[in-house]
Amino acid sequence: MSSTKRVRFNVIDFFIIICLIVACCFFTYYAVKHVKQNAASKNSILYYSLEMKDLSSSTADLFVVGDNISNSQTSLPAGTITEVKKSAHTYVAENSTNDEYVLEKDDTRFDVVITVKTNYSQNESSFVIGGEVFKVGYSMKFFTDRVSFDGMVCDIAPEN
Amino acid sequence: MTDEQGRVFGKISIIDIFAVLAVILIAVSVYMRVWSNGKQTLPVTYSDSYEYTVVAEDVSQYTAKALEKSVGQDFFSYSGKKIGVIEKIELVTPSLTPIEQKNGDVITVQHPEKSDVRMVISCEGTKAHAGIMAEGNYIISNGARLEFETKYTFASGRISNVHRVK
Repeated sequence: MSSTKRVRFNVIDFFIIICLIVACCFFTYYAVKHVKQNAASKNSILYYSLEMKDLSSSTADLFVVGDNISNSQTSLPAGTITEVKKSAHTYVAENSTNDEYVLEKDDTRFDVVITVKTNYSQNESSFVIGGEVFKVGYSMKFFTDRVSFDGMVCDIAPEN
Repeated sequence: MTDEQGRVFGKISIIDIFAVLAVILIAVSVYMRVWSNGKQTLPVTYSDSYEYTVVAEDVSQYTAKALEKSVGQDFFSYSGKKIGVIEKIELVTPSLTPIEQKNGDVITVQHPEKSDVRMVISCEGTKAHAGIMAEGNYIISNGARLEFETKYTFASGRISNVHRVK
């Protein structure tokens, strides 16, 4: 037996090393994910359109090119309005003489379609804007400095 | 084998061995959970290519256009699991909707704003008891309703014409 005290690599050391490895794995995973998302959202521009139906003339006039819009649920920015199209309100009506459905126009009410430019990120199955998944057909709440409104996403076009 | 202090060969405590094994098991399970992104890894052999048709009914003109944009892209179940690739849009026709005539009869007429969209989806799959297991994620059966989404939009439809492609 030697009187020299040998320093052994004991089980507690293994435990600490394993904990450190797990912590490093977590850190690397989230750091890489964060960098990827940032890179994607910084360089990617997307245009989407929102349709608002059956508005009064005064409400329709509150949509102005250049205004910033925000998502009401998250309060995060959702882009800048680049185009506003205002047209007479159309709706589906029953034509009882011919037994058919027809599109009728109401010139006293308005349908508005706005196009919005924004940065976005994406995952495998969706476009994500301001933390929210966007798909054609979704109805969502937004607000600008002038108006808050419900809009239906009617087009999504990522810039090439 | 163990000494009076419970050490194996007088070196390592059995309790320590259990502790290390527990930590390794926890680390492996965390890895599986995080890195597999919630997807179950099933031991599926993708032995065959299949095609099936989905008819999305009563969709808006916007959704119909978004489905046309999605051709060539992945096709997902409503829970976000991939169940194929949209090969082509075969047909977009106005939806038929009921209308009541003056005499009380109900007939179907074309809806001016809604369409039915017929899509052909391809996938890798294996035979399952009621159809095929598409991409190891979802059972596709003739006649079943399917809530689905693409990157651009979402809708529901009915599945038909599930067949193997040679």
